[in-house]
Amino acid sequence: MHPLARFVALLRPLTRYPAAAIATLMVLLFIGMALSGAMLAPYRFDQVVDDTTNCLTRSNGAVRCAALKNAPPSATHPLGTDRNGRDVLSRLLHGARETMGLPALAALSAVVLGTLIGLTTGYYGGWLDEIVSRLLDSLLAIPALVLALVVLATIVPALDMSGNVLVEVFGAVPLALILVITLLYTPIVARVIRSAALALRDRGYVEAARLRGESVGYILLREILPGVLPALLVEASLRFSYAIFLVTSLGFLGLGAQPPSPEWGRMVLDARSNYATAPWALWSPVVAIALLIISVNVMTDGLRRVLRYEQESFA
Amino acid sequence: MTATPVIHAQQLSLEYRLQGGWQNAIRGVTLSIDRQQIHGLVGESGSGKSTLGMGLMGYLPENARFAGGSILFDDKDLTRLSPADAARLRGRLIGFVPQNPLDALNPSLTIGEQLQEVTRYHLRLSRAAAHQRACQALEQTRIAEPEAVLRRYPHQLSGGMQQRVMIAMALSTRPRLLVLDAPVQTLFRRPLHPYTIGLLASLPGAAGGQQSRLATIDGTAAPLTGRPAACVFAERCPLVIAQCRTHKPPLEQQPDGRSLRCWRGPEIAAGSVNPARPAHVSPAAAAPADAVPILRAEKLRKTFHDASLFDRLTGKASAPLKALDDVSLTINRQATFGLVGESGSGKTTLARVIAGLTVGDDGRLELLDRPLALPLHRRSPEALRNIRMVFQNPGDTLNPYYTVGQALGRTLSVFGRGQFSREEIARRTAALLEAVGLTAAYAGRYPEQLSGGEKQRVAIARAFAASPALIIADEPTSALDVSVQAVILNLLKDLRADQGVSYLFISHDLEVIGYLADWIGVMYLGEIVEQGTRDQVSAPPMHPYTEALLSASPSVDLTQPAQGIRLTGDIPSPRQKPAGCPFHTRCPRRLGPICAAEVPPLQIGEGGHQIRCHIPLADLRTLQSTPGGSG
Amino acid sequence: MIRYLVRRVLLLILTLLLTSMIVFAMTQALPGDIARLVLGRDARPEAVAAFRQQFGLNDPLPVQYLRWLGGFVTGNPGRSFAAGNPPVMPLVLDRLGNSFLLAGYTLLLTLPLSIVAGIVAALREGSWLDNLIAFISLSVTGLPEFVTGIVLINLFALGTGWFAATSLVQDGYTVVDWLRVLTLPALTAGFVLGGYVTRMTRAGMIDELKKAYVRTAILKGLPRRTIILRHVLRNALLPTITVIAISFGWLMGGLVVIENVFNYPGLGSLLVTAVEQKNLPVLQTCVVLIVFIFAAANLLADVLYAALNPRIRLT
Repeated sequence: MHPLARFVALLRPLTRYPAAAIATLMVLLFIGMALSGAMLAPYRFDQVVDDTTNCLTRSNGAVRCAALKNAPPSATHPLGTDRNGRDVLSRLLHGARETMGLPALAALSAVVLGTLIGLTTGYYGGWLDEIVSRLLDSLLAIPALVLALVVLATIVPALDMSGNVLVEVFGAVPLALILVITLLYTPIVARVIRSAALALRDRGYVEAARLRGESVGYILLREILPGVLPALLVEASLRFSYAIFLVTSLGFLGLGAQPPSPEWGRMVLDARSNYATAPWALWSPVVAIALLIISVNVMTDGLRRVLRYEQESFA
Repeated sequence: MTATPVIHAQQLSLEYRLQGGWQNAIRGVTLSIDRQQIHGLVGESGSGKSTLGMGLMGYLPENARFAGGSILFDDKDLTRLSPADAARLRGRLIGFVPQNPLDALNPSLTIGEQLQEVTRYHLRLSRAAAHQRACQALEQTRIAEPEAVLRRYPHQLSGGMQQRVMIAMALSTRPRLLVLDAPVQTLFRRPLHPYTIGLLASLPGAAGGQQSRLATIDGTAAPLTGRPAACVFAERCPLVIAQCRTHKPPLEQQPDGRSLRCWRGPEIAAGSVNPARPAHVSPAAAAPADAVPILRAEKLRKTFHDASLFDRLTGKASAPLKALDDVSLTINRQATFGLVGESGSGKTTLARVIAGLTVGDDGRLELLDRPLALPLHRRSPEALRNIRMVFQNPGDTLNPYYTVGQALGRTLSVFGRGQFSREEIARRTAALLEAVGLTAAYAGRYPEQLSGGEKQRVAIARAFAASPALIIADEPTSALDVSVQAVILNLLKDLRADQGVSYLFISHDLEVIGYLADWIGVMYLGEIVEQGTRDQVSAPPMHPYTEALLSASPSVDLTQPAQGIRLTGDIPSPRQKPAGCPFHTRCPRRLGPICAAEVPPLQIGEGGHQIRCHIPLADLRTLQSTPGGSG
Repeated sequence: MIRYLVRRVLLLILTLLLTSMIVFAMTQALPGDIARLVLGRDARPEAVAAFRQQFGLNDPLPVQYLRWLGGFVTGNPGRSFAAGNPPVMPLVLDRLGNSFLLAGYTLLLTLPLSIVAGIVAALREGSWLDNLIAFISLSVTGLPEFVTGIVLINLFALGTGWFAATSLVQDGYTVVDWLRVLTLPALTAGFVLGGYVTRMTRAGMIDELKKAYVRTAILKGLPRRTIILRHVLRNALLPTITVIAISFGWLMGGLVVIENVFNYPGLGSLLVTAVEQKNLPVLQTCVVLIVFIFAAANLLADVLYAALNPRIRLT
């Protein structure tokens, strides 16, 4: 069996923790929503819904209707409409991609980079390790959100002007978010993986591989990496959760996604001032964010337990 | 029995809650301990001796319970006492000395606080009285400066002092019974039970010299969930008969006061059967007479500077650690070089420098008459193939993510330089597994499905996979039970004859070394202070350190009183290596100021025997031959 | 011990210097003309030139950095870009005081409860109570502050009117007024922090309870209460103490969002405004101040840990 397959087999006991199993299912549902939400949504994210009871027929025969603003939940609009007359459910479904996709990409790149740095510094130790660790420490000395604020303020205009291909694909703000989160979380992941790799460095099987004359690449990827996978998976899941936290928080502060984006944090910000007339427009994204983050966290906790799973024993 | 026993357990049974059900861990144990009697309890790991020891104190882990029988102590039945009442008895009337003293002491309380709380709680002593009692208890253990020790924290004491503190703690309430959990092996004269006989016979010191094999016990202790109903030892017993599997033998008193639970006890007592595994004499165990050197090491040095970058920049580096200081040795073809010494003596560093895992600072290595580079990455594939290693800890010698077959297959394909077909690798893997006494079916298993002994066999197979010239074994059996150790030592001995390899075998256990090695080196603080053949090193003249090690190793035969000289204190830190002769601070045969001032000369005796000491060989011989002639 | 302290302080200064350089370089390296960004696209060239002159923007970056650093150290890091160009320091210090007040109140409100919850959960490991505490702490820790904040506002401010939804701090406030203003933001921050402290305490307790010295204490016949209070707690709470000290620093960053949700006039909301207005002197001073507090809290944590841990104190 390939070590990766063996690792996946280790995750099977997750079903023994009902809360974690349910949470994992929820996370999968959310991921499904991010992937297919745009197709499922009855309206476009920026489509203004017509108020069919309030229409005028123009002289040229065209029917112009007023926007259906602040409509309470109903059969046609299960979560109501917002103050601009947009369907809240459709916006939620569309927004799932940005709300989860950006954090997923960012967490992934932080985990890949952090793992490479962590494995290398953990295995080699010595001066390289100390210099890299000191650099990472300086980055960690700035609170995450504060660093994100500063970097965002700096790189968004820079990206806008650069005309880079990636900017065309993602847009300046999302790309900036991915870069910022990668910058923020790489040191953290590197640190975790480093200490995990450090603990494995002196294992007999690693030394046996060195004595076979294996290359550093083989030792890192084939001998050490499998042992680091539990830490890696837990860390990836944790980083995903924190990245959602950051992206929605920045959206809420008005510094992340810009209107008319349906990113959930931004939706909260847009609906907040209008709370008295359309509370559903506020509660929908708030509940969605809460459910998503709680699910990811409970799943992470389940992973943590399963991967450190030890059989009861005595003596 | 003349007097009432201090403690009497009658048909005691204990159960653990495992996998939803209750599993028997201790079944129908009956034992009595009289006043001033020492009652020893031995067995392999998993045999339940620690559980029983703590059960006798009325303490059980949370997932355990008493399932029958009684423990009478102080007119009370400990199995029926409430936890609070049992707690009041233990600590006051029953003391406990654990195996590992450092873990057993609270790191953030002073020794004084930890000693005094026992007497203050159980005997309601005042602070002053408790302090005085703690001092007295420490004095009883002959610890220096008890007052100062009381003010220290556990990490500020040496291992030996911590152990004394634990004993003092147990003694401070003047208990009637002391339970000691110690890693000491068997101490019997003439055992009767096949299991006991097996355990005793598997000790290397009990074997009849190098020509014989060690007796072994098949298998390992059964898990709690699969204990046989009748005789628990039946499946592993060489004398098993049908009755053993169907009926549980009764506990029978022997004429000399012992009791025995075995159907074949009378036959064993009469000497008509012998449960020790038949000891074949291996034909070519002795090293060939023509000594052809395969590995030569000259003046190896290694110093560790483990200060950080920051420390170096600020000039606060801690003292460097001299792990190897001018070490030279030669290993011959098909010979076993045994390396002994206390922990911290540099044995492992020497092995790693030769293997290339640690890069030596200085010195020369020569393998099969070709120079061998010190750093691993500058060694040729051929050199890598010729030096293989077996590691100390069976738990981490195999990668948990690969099967045994994958682990062996990788070694085969790396050293076969890709010339082996898949079938060839499978065939060779099977052959290797069989050579180490396993079956080909083991190739599909993961390390977690193997016992410690089996993992070590696979590690040995992996070492032999490359058909090397030299195998370095760093304490390969120190983490194993004696019965399993015997299997591994036999295996290594057989393979040496079959495959024609040499060993560099490291152990802190003189008996293990004596069983396997033809040539022995004794290390102390990074230097080889003596080397010679097995016979040269174990008889006068010998280095005072060797002499001390020999007399410190416990004798299996209790009738012989401890003899010779004793080591005092702990091995000094290699960071503060004493000047002159490194052993002068602990040497019982110290000559005088010269030992601290001058590096002792290397004296060469008969047959290449080397001793690094200021005392002339003739004087050493005289000193060591006179009984009781120690300081 | 003294060597350790000196070493730590030196490291702290080094980290601060590095981070201040990073912050300064990042903010000052904004693409385009900062003067034009602040004054607007249509500003007259003379005004722009005057602005550049006034704030020394024509000097090379290192000169600007050293001038700013000198000013920061002597307590006068310059004047704000905002209307009237008030000096930065009094403004920042005023806001800092408010943030400290909020952070202190948060710790007071959160710590006792969460530490006790952690201890109880550990002592009843595996029970329904433990699972409940685990679930609650897990759920609230990961939630973005704006989500919890909005829920709290709607439950306790808008619904009942017990607490103020927004926090316009005025002169002449009584204690009751302060409590009305501070409690909801403090609770919001406390949720994140409390969940974390609970989990740390629980983990620390469980780790310690498994150690051999606990068995020694049991076999010495000591009563359970003595074992917990005298032996286990002092070791188990060591990591928690570190967490508490670090969390004070963390609060400085975490308050950014909370202050925004509640319109609380602290350092965080000042920072967000500064980012929006590209008010560099204020931005730089805020960030470096937050980093300083963050780093100082980390240092305090390490020193406390060392002072309370004889294994470090006495080596």
